[in-house]
Amino acid sequence: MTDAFVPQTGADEGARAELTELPEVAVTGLTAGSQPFPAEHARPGAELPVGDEHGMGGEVKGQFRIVAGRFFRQRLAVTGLVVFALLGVAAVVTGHVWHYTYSQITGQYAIGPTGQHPFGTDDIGHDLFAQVMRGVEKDIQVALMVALIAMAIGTTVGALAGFYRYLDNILMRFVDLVLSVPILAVLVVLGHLVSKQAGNWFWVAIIIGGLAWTYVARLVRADSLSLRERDFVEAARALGATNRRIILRHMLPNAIGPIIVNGTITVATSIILESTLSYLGLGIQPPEVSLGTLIAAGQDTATTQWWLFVFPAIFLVTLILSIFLVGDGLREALDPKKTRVRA
Amino acid sequence: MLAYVLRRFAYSIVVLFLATVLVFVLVAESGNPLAILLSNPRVSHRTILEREKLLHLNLPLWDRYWIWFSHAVRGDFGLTISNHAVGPELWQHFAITLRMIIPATIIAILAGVGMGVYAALRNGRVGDRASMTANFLFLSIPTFVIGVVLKEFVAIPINQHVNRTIFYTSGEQSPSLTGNVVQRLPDYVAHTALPVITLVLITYSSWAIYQRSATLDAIDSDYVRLARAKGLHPRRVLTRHVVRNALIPVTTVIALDFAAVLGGAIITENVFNWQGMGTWFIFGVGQLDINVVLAYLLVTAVAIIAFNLLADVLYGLLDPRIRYD
Amino acid sequence: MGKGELVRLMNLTKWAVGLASAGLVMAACSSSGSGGSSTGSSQSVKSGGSITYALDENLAGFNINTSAAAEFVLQEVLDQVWPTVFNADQNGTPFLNTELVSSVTQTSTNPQTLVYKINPKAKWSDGQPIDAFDFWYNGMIQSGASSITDIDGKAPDVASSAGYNQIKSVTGSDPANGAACKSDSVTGITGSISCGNGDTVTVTFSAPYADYKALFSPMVPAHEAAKVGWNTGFTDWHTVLSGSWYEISNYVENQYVVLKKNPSYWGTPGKLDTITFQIFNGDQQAVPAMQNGEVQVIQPLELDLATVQQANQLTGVTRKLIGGFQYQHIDFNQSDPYLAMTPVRQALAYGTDRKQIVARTIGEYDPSIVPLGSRMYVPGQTGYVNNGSAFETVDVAKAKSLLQSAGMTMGSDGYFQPSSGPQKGQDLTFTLKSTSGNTLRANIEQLLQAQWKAIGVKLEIQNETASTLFGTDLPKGQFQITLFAWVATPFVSANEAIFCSYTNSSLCGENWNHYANPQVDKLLTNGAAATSSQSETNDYNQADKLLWQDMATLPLFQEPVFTVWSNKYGNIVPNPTNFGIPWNANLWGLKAS
Repeated sequence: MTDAFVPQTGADEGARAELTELPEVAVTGLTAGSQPFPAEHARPGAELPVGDEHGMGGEVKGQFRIVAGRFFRQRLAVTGLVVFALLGVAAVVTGHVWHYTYSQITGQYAIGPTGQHPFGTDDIGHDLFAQVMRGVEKDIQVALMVALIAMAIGTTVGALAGFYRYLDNILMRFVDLVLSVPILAVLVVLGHLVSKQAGNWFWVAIIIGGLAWTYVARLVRADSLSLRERDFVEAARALGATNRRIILRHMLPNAIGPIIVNGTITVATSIILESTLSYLGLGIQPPEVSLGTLIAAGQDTATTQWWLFVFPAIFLVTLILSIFLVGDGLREALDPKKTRVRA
Repeated sequence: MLAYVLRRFAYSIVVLFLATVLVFVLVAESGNPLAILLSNPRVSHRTILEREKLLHLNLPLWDRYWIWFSHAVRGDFGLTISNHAVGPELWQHFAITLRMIIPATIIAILAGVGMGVYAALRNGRVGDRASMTANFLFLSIPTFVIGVVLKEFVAIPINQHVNRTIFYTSGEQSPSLTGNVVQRLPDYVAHTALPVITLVLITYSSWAIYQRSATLDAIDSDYVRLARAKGLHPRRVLTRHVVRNALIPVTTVIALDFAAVLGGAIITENVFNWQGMGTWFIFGVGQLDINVVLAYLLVTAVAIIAFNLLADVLYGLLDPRIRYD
Repeated sequence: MGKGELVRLMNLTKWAVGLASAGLVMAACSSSGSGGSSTGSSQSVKSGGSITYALDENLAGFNINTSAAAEFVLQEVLDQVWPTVFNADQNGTPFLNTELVSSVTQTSTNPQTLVYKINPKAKWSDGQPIDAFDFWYNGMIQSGASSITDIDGKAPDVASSAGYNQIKSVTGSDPANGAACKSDSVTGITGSISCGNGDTVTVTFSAPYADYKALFSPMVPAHEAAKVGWNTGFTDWHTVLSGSWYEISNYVENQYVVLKKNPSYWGTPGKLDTITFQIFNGDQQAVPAMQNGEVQVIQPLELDLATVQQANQLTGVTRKLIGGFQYQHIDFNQSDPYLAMTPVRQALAYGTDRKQIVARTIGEYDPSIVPLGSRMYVPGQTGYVNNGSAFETVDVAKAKSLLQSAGMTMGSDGYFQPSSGPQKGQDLTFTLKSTSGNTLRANIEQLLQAQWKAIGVKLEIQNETASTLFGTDLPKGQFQITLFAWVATPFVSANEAIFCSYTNSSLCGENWNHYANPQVDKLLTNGAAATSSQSETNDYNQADKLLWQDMATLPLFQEPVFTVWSNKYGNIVPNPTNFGIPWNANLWGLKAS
């Protein structure tokens, strides 16, 4: 729908993108009600264009320092970052040093938390602490993989589409295709196919990433549409720069802010999607665990064997929340207009 | 505007057509829905052949698609693998889903807009922080976690405490419910409360965050500063200028978010055992029931495309700076 | 568990139970043909009132005798609606429904000839009599003969032709009140029955069929089917005439089926005014619904600890766990070069701690369950003997020595390595395929993985959807080891198809394991033709002993059936057969206080 909006004031692509970005960013969210971040972050990250090679290093460094400074001034965002880092490190370390592995059948089964089993054990004798930590690890692994896929494809396609109009049409039709059905429904169909693949966390990541990139591509496209008309791009073109050089050296560096913010949010939303799929039995398959499979297994005994539901649920929510907080912090830090808001 | 809407509509038809081809191939290639009968020696080969014929499974893929397509354009969605007409089943499940998503969407809009404006007005103060914290929390809780928590840790204890069923945790209504709509309403409400609360909680938060940000932008805008400078009453500035302008982007966001609401309904129905479209769809996927899967995707896609168009139109109507060509 | 319909679908339970209802009614071949036995009536109840039963799946239609609709849940609904000649009581013993058919007599054994005497008062709820025409139609349409079609010319969808395909003729005589004989026919079925309105039915078989009590259970109304058709005529409940205590008064798909007393029932009427089957999306909803007072009887198909625990918190109810007819087992595909070696299969069996598997799965809520010692019978069933006591206790040392004797050497990583074959010099690794989304099986798999690691065997898990597993992988032999459930029945002869030599592909279609032992074949054939129950049991137990020796398959445990009902009601008697708990629902009622 987006290419239909043409503001009366000025037909240039830049202004056009400004106006159209609203509906576009609105669909950043991949799951129900999870498109939290309004349009701001789709604007070219900083008002300062990143220059040509001479002086670029210094300016980027300077800009990075400004952004980092803004980010670390936000208490919630820093908390989110710390919590996320702790969870990630704990998950990896636990796998190596904890006295049970996630797949080990221990002597005790169906017991509540004890010193030996701080989170209790499940019906067949898995140590739940080892399992929750494995679940955190798998969730992060899937989410990072999804973000990687989505960012790589989305940025490439988005940048090209924003720059070459004929690609734009093809891209936008494909994006329309993906956006015209609930993404969860598409994942259910695909999940049914990949749920029997061995080592299927990888496949789960592929199918989520295979859809998520379209959201990234839309954003990057909007940015490049706007950037393409900016003075410094015009200048580069006038100096005889090739398209490739313009995209790589001038446009992408300037779009990097929104891409980073969006990547962060993609990490959080893909955890929600993965855990939802796993909860439905269409994502990660046993004996591998994810927080979604643990919650699915524990939900029915939520009142009698509360630990089987409560621990995985708390870790899942904490994990997602920490990433959202980091994302929001990054958005604030990258948006100079928003410095007045202390979130 | 009409030309624009028509062109969008034409685009959408093409998109829909491609979507059905893709899904058809995907589901058809993933297996034979009657395969399980083959392993049952008591079912004769003749029976299996007959059922395959009925579902056109004996034909090449593209012939099957053509049969489906030529019937679907006439509103006939074919048979389920248990030989029921898909159409009536579809509308029955759709009606049940609507009973959940209509009230949920209305409440979520009110909650989202209300909390967003409130937070913006209390910008940076305790009220703002509290509501933003709640928003982020609900944003981070997956649907199924909210559903299970409401069911197991809220509804059942309350029911046990008062020793009577206030919240039903399963199904969309009691069996053999009789009477007219007014008489049935209390039962509907008792069944619908938990799913609606779940859907509201997962939906409203992002709208509230969005509304807050849009309101802040409006407060900060030149025209509001001008209005204030003119000495307009603060309440008038708020209602006439701030909220009105801040509602423009949110309207489109909400319309566009319809896909997400439908997605959320899949899980909510699953947790609360509602026999809505989502449950029907998931069951259909499991059975490789291609006509069920396609009917679901077609109906949701049409709804989403309609809402996207609505978003475009609303955007244009609300913001006079926009014109369509 | 609670993960929606998809999960339920992927469970063999439904399929296997549906299969049982497709014709294998509980009936012991040895018992005599007539005489109504226990019908579960003991408490005095008053007339009137209603009850709601939790049905854990949607109905696919109403013609239980078609493969499209043959489901356990539908059988439960139809128990009280369509006429059934033989019912099965809580012990699985068949008994004649004497209000429908006063006697069934075998008048000749060569050719086998049965004479059914229909109650002259028996009629369908539209007033048409239940007569020889109904027997004729039901016998013909299910015969599987290629000349027979449905009224629209299409082949009839028949869930099971077993028995019907051996019927030579069905004739009628003795019309009620001395009326004249009248011939009946149906489009698509060649020929006619000359005395369709007769109340005496004579069925002659072309070959003896010992399990004849499974036939005509239930019967489809012939005169209605002649109008609406067999395949699709009964997808709408309005055509489902009653020929029994209750009739369908309302059905909303995915929501409920309401039965009300059949006003034209000719015998002792049912006690309750209405019986509602509320349809649930899986079993996890049943207990909370009972807690909320939405249902009064539940019998979850897929049982787990959570369900039993939640049910234990209910007050004012009776809970009962009884042994069921379904059992889980592990199968070894002998077309695999390593699994072809008996010592390897035996080693895996010795390395399987079945007691631990039981203790950590269903033993958590049913401590009475022990490792299953037979493939032919389940504990509680006449004829059950524990033939597998040698494998009851895990024996790691023995397992290891057996693997060594099969030419494996222990590697430095703790896994055995074959000295020949495709895995030569590598860790001995097997892949187990089962159905995805089944918590019980996923748990068994993980326990096995740990247990077999202790004997130096690596186990990989690769679960499939039920349709892939049962539709492709097993029939095509594309597996090494599999885990699923069979439903045992007193029709022990059904086991022949599973255990007789795979080389006989037409008879032994379910022997997916490439197992072959002529001695077993002989014993199974003898058992099927046995004249006394003693020698029948003896033959089958001998066969089972050989199967244990050869370690053809490893039975794990019998699954329990769990029923909970409100104490306000009397005469509710759990029934482990495919009739389910509503088998005697005509006697259910509110207790007279």
